[in-house]
This record gives sequence, structure tokens and C-alpha cells, in this order.
Amino acid sequence: MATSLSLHFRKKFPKGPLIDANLQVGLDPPVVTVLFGPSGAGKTTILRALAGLERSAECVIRFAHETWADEKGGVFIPPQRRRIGFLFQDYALFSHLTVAGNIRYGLPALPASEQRLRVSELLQRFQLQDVAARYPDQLSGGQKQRVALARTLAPDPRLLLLDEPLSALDGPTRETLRSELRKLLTSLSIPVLIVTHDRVEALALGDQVAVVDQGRIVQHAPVAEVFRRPLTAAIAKIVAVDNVHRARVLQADQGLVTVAVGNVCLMAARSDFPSDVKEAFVCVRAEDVLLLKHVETVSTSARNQLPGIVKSLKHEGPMWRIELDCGFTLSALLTHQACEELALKQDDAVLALIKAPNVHLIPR
Amino acid sequence: MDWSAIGLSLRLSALTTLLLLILGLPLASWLASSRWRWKFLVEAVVTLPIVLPPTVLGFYVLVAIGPHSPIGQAYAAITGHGLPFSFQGLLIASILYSLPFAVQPFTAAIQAVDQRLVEASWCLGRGRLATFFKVTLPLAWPGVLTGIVLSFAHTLGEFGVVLMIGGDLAGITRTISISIFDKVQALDYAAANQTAFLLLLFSFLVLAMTYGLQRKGIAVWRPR
Repeated sequence: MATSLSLHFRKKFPKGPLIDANLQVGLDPPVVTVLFGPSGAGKTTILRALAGLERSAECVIRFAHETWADEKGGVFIPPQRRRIGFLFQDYALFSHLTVAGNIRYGLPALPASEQRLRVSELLQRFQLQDVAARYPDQLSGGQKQRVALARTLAPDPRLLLLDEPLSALDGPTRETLRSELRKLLTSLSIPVLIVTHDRVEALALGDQVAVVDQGRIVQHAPVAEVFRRPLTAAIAKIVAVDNVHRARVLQADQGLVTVAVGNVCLMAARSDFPSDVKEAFVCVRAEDVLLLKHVETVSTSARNQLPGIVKSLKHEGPMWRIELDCGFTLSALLTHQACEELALKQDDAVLALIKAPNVHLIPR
Repeated sequence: MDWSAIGLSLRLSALTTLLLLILGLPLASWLASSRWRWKFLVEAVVTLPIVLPPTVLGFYVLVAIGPHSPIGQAYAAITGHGLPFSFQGLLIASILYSLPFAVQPFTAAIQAVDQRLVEASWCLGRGRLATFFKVTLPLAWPGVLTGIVLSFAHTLGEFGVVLMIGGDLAGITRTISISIFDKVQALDYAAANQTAFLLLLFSFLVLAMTYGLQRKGIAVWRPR
């Protein structure tokens, strides 16, 4: 069996929820796992348990062949000896130390010359050379985030834990840093766990998603699968995206981005799409899919016209959920009346229409 | 001006403050982080000297270090002389008397340091002691300074405890406040005024400095 990181953590908080989490993450190859769920679900507690900052009588953590915690067996390795990197939600920078001082903080074991080398290497990598002598309160939000990342990576951690890494940033900065962060994480080749309650972040950053709900991990699978095929209605409510597909970016021009999902082309209206991004997730809400029947040619303002076959029809409250095969699985949500008027049944041929602004792209 | 009394008081205050720093910081950092059920008892004991009359405190310290107590006997056996009416006895009493003036600001300041910074330090591989000296202490420094200043000033002005433990031996236990008392007893108001004014001025400057520090947004003295 390949090496893995495994966690069993159970703890009842006096005024909080019962956390009862089981998680297993493969380490070879290293993947980015997103702990996703509503706030208060226990995501951060799980992350803190992995770091050794949260303890419980019922806690077993194994990292490859090491046991980090087995409280019943009397084993507990403190955070200092786990060689992990932990990025705190609001970064927890040392306000009395400069940027360089913060980055150097985790390197006391190295000789001074090597410390300097490592710090200047990280300053350069995170474009912080110009602010090396500044103090944290003189930095912008984006700079603080980069300093925190640089400090966390300085001692060469074996496992990276990020608690809401983008939540302290404002909108535009967050968008830019999201794709930068994904590039950074894939370049590190160490396992990463990220806590977030933001769907877009989960889709943009993760290889895998572990959905956390009321202290439990209720589904753990590749990103696209979790968002496309939630295991239960409760999970569907949490992830709340109907159609998620991996796509290649073909062209971006004049506010229209053309992407390919398999062999099918889709157009998305998005003016600020980063030009260097080649991979993305396409998201379409099922309510935004229109269905037409018995039409040979159609002239419509909708940029996306996809011929497809009805694969299944399912009741969902007052609505019907129609699964189509358009070269990929597309899910549409129709009212009862609409469904009856179209007299839809399995294997019918239909045309699905999606307006370009309703095709949402998340760069990777 | 009674320079010998002033010198003695300064020496006593400096040594008391130094020892309170060494003893008070570990105690304060324990008080700041411990979740022990009976911690409130320790807090009450630490705060006692604020409400006790100095004579009561002095009396019990005198009993505790006197020739009939195990501490007093052990000390006499090692050093050959007793603790009461000596500078060392005065030092022990001063430390107890000024304990809350050091430990309370220390504790408040250490508590105010964001726990996540401490955890960040642990995750960066630094042990508890290194974290205390590299993160907690520098960030709690204004509060620690307040504690130092207050214990120094408080020791400098003490009277009742000194009288109970040390009596009035010139050059050994005659501190500033005892000297002022002596002058007044001898109806030498001019000399008493000189020394008293010096003490008043010093105390005012010290407190002005302390509150000046607090005005810079560093709340360190939380009355209980």
C-alpha cells in the first residue's frame, strides 16, 4: 500500500459540536486536499489536530510510517517535531519582527550564512525583496499573505496546512492570488490540506475535496466528482453546484472565453480572464439550462446550443432534474409544467441552451 | 538628606524588582495559560498583599522567618545569623509585599499576546522557552515594564512591612520612609520634607511614565 496520512479524531466540545472525523490522504503522489464545509463544521479543528495544536483523548494520527498521535497509546508528538507548515487564517505574523525576521524565524538550526541565503531565496520567490525590512503593519493584505507563506515554507515542511488562506483578502486581490496559490501548491510537491468554506476556492485549489458537515467527513473524492455527484442531499446542499467540468481554455478574446469540455465547445462571458490560464473548471447552474424540443435549426441569442439525449428524469421538490448527455453530463432543472409541456421522456433528443454569462469559469 | 537611607532603599528596590522579574515571569505565564481548577486560589494569594495591612503581612513574615520557624532555623544554620532585622529578611518581605504589583501586569500582558502567534512559533519548530523569549516577552514588554516600574516604586515607598521585619537599623534596614518617620519624630520637618519631596517626585514620575505607556494603546493594568 502506498504511504498515507491518516487521522482519527473524536472530541466533544463543551458548548460546541461533536467532532468525529476520519480522514485518509495518499502521500504519493502528493495531492492538494480541500476540507470544505459550512463555518462551524469543524474544519479548522481537524486542521489543528493534524498540527498538534488540538488534542483529544481519542486521537490517532499517522504520517507515512510515523505515529504523530495515539493518545490512548500515550503517543503525542508536539507541533515542533512534526515538521509541518501551518498558515493561520489572518496569517499570525510577528508584529515585532521585520518581513525578513519573520521568514528567518523558523530557521534557528541553520548556520547564519545559510539562513541569509534561504531568506533571500524566499524573498525573491515571493517578490518581497523591496519590503524585506518592513514590519507587518506596513504591508498590504496580499503582501502579508506572501510573507506568511514564505515563513511557513522556510523550514521545508513535509505537510502544508492552510486555514482559509484567502479569506483575509479583498475581492480583486483574492482573485489574483487564487490562481497564483494553485500554481505554488502544485510546484511544491508536498501534500497540502486547505480549509475553506468558499466553493470557488475549493474548485480552484484542490485536487480532492473532503466535505465536512457537523464534525464528520461526509464525502471525500476528486473535486469535480464531489461537486457533480454529491453523495447525499445534505452534501448537495453544501456544495450547491450542479454542473462542474474540467475544461481546456481554447481562446479568450473580447470578453468571450472559449473552452472545451471533452470535444464540446462552450463560450463563457468573462472579461477579466487571466490570459495565461490553460485549465479551468466550468460551472453551470441547472436552473440556467433551457431545453428545446423538435427543433431542427434555431436562431437564438444564447451562445451555447448543445444537442443532447435525455438520460434520466428525477423529482426534486417542485422541480424536475433532467440529466442530459451532450458529450458530457449536463444537468437541467425544469418546473413540473415545463416538463409536461415538452412531454420529456428518456432518450428524447433535445437542444440545451445556455447563455454565455451563465457559464462560470474558475481558472486553475 | 539621609543619603545612606536613600542608597539602601534604591538597593532594596532594585534587588526586589530583579528577583520579582525572575520569579514573577514564570508565575505570570503559568497564570496566563493554566486551566487548573484551583488556579483562582493562587491568584487570590498573589493578590493578598494589596488588601492586607502591611503590619499583618509583616507580622506573619516575621513569624515565618523568625528563629522559631523551620525557615529561620535553616537559614541561621547555613549563614550563622538570623533573617529578622537583616537586609536579607527585608528583601524576602519586600518580594512578597510587591508580588501583585509585578505579577498582575505581567499576567495581563502575557494574556494579551495572541495565542495564535505562540502556536505559529511552535509550528515553526520553536520550543516553549524559545517562544516565550522570542515572541511572548517582546510583545508583552510594555506590560512587563509596567510591572517592573510599579514593583520598584512600591518597594521604594514601603513602611509598615519594613518596620515589622527590619526595624530601624541605620545602613542595614533604615529605608527612606523610616528615615522620614525618624525626622518627623525628632521634629526636624525641613529634613523630613527634603526626603519626602524626593519620594513624591519620584513616585509621580514613575506613575506618569506608566500611564503614558498605557495611553499608547497598551492596556496592561487590569484592576480586579
